[in-house]
Amino acid sequence: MNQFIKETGLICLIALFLGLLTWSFHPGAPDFHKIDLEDGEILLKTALESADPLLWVDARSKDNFELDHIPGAILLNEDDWEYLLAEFMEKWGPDQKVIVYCDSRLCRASKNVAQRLQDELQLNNVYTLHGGWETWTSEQN
Amino acid sequence: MDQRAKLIKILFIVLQIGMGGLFIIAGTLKILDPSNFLTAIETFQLLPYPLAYFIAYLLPWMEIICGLALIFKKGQMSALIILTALITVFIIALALSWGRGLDIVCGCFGNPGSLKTNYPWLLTRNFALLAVIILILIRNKKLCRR
Repeated sequence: MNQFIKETGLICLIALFLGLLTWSFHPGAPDFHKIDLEDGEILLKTALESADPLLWVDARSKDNFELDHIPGAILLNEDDWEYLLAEFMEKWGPDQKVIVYCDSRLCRASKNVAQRLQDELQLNNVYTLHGGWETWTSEQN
Repeated sequence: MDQRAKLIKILFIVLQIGMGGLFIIAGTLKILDPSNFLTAIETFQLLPYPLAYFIAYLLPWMEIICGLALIFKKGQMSALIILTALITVFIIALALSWGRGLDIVCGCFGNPGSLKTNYPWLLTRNFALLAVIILILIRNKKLCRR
């Protein structure tokens, strides 16, 4: 039992030490609370300051969209993809910057929708909103 | 030692080395991209950010060290118990996230891309891992007693 506790403690200590080294020297180590934008993500401030016309795409559920959404946004989620895509195509213009959002920075629906728009329609000007709807509502308050 | 006992011994050696290798790979992929792993932990929405940040650096090394312990048979009982605890906690976290309808990132083997979370597959895989680790644990305990 004593041996087991010693070994377990040693494993934890070594892991802690190596973790500290990683935190100190790893070039890709995230800073505490730094905003790390993923590929294709855009900050709300950057989006609003953009010179291009914006097309907001809401990738949340239909219920959430109907409760509230970014003004002018259109609904496009994977639950009703075929049907909603037709509506998206009616609104979309080639000069527009498409910005997809979902609930928060931890949801993935916006990334999935953005990826499908890029893959299926070969759209290049597609971004996901960092922080999603959560960021939008907190900025409005 | 009869043929059957020999086969079982070889099977457990292969299982132990296989498990060790698996955890070394899993830990290495996480440590190569700590930012991605931190995001994966956060998608579970279970831990406060400082704790998630701490775990993003600690957990991959725990996996690597436990994997090495299994392969080199040094401190393997401790490693097996730590891995059992880690996988059990992970299974509970998966079940909770599934129940809450979250779209999580497993983060188990690096960046999975943008696939939708396949909870039944993730749970099956982790229950299978847990079963193998418990089997190795039970066998090692029996051998220690002899």
